[in-house]
Amino acid sequence: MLADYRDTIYHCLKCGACRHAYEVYEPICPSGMKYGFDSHYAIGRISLARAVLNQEVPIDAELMRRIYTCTSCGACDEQCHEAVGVDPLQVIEELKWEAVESGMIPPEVRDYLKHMNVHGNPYLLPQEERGAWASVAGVPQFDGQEYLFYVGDVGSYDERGQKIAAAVAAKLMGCGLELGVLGAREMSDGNEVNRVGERGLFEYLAKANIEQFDELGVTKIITLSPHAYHAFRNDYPQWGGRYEVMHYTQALAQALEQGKLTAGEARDQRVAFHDPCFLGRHNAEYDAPRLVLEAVEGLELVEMERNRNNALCCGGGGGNFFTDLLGAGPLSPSRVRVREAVEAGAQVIATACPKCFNMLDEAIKAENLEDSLTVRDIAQIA
Amino acid sequence: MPEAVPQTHELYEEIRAVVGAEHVTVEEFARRAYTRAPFYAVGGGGRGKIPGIVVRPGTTEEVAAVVKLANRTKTPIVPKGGGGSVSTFPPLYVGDQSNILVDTHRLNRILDIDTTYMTVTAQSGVILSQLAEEVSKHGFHTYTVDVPIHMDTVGGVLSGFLGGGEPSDMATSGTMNNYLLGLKVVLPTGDIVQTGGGPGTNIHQPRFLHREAGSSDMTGMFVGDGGSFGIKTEATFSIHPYPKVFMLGITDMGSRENMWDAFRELAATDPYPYTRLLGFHQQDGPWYFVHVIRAHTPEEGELKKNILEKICHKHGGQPATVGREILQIANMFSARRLGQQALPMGSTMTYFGEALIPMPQSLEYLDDINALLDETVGDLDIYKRIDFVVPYLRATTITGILLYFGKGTTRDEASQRLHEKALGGMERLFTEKYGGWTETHQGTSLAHSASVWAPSYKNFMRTIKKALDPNDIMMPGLWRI
Repeated sequence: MLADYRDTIYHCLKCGACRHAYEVYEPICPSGMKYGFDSHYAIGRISLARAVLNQEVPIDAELMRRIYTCTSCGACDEQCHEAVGVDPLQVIEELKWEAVESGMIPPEVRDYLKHMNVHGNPYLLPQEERGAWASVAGVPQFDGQEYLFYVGDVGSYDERGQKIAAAVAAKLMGCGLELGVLGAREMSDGNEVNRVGERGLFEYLAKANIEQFDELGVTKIITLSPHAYHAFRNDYPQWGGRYEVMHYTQALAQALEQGKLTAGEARDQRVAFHDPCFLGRHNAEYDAPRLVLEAVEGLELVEMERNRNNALCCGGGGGNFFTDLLGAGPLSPSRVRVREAVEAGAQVIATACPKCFNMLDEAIKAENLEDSLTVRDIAQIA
Repeated sequence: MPEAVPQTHELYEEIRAVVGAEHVTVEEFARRAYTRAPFYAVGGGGRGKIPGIVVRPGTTEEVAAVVKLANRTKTPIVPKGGGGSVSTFPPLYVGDQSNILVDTHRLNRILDIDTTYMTVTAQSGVILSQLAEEVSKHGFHTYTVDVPIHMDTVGGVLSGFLGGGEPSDMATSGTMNNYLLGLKVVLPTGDIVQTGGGPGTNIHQPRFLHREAGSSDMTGMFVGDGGSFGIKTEATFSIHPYPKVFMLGITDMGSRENMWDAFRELAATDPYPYTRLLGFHQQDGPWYFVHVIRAHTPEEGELKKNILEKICHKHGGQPATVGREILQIANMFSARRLGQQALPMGSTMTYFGEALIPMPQSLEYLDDINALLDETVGDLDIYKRIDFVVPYLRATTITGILLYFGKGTTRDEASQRLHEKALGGMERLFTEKYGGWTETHQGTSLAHSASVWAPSYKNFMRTIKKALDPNDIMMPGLWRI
């Protein structure tokens, strides 16, 4: 309940540190950067939460339309820890939960949740098609292998996501890892459902996944998506789901260290790595992807100005990948991000998240940068 | 019952035509988000008036067009920078519900850094940390406020008291105002004026080198005006090569008498051996000095350190070995971020009575505000209180109490009590004894500063205000004149 966060709300000094990245002095809040008004930054959202708490304003769909432009990227938390010691994101996500509880959510969020409830995925596609890509790619079904390769909604249904999933699986298997996928048996990990505040559905999905994992004897999971990695690692243990969870870049970095990964070659490519928020800020994994990239011969790793804990979100988190409440335009974070990659001298923007991949790929087209910049997943480079 | 808030504004369509639909809003939630003041000030943290419309202009010309529209309907305008006014953000009490809040954050471009003439020109919505960073990339330094450098804007600090808060080298540098060379201002009539001795004022000057354009220092007129003489849209500052040696030290001075004797001698030493000096103590603890020394070479640094240590030692000072808590307190004054993270969640901090005080009266003032604190909020849950005294140039100090409330006092309770009791007492102290100065931005203390103006000066200010702002639309009532 929002009331449980009263102390946090009142601890906010209104200093505005949540607007900018401390070390690089650049805008860091995706929605604030795009819309500009205080209500799109944590500073304003905390004020609005306080107004809700004090019953000065009701929770309604219009208020929440503003709140839902938050991508749960955690950049405000990162800045506020340094400045004041508050976690604004907790308050924002609590508001989302209260909105779901009271039914006061924007239609885009309602539709997303409806699709997740009815179809089990946001693409409205049949469950049987979930593992179709794996059959084509020759990735085996999970049958007691050492690792479950968990793919998630985007990797299973989205065309670009499927290609990434296939590349990752091939790379992992090439390292000698024994893995299998759940295919048509796979269910959504629920991380985005949780992020938009539908905690009941998230709990249902988590428990269903845990039950299935346990029935199948899953003990080690490699995830394609940082979002699933986050949910399995941080949320599932509360319901007894305790597994050895790795993001695939961590598995590749481990394989590299063990001499099992022979990284490929790149012809004099300058590559900038875009840190996915749920791998970096939320789980503090910044090195594994860079280790893998640095092992590629001929690849020059360059850094964008906003990197690691100060990386700019692509705009796809917090359910926005499906609801698009943050919207398009020159100031959309993904477009700002690809321009930043170009400024850093990159020819390739590498990432390790199928959502980020899609967002950045679309942004490159919108910016007419196809001739100078491409987006690749790490598995498609290494 | 939730308060009914109008969802329209008579100038909406016209302002939208000026700045574009995405940069103006009458939407209730957007406007509400601007109504909270920062807490870290006496009387702060409360909820103010909800502006009638919020506009984010991107150019000086857009600002001017909005101001002209406001003149037609005589609608009050509140310019907003970082929103960090230490003594309460003006929308809390200025104007009415039709207010046009001009959020200057889109005026965020650094227009020119000239290393030959050693100047930087920036739009007024530029955040000070961004300004400092960009200038430092060219090997130069700007004297900006230190805390909170990440929220204050160029226009905001220049509009505040002294044209800036506390820069990191405030003992020797003074505030940003001292480095200001010229301003571009949208006057309350909507006319645009450039001040300073440079392009726009002097046809032969290609760059700003000094404030005077062969006339009075009109740049200074807009410094510390709280935005009531116009909206600053651009500012030019001098930039400086920065000494590379940085030395920080803490000295245990023991008693208040020891500290003060050393303090006065240090302040009377020319040139200063330090760029920043902070004296503080916590409740019954010893007084400490935190000093910053900057120098071009290690030898120069050591020489300054020796002078400083000799004076401190003469008055009983000893190099201090201090724990984390004292370091955190010291960081509150020198770190570039606010130090609320040192507090238990739910508690809060404020600067109680922080004011610019003539040095001979500093300790007396400290006693007065401690008594006021005891009398007004002393029964609340106070987690920590720290007296501090900081030299500002030669014969002035910034003196006050850093006050931390514990969890037993809610922020609303603290805010209400401070506002109802302490603020009045403080105003009495200033108006009856210390002359109406508080170290602040453009908040309420500008109002009580005006309350001690002599009749002739008040009349002078009223005349200027009336001449510049015939419709009284720019921050009306800020000075209560």
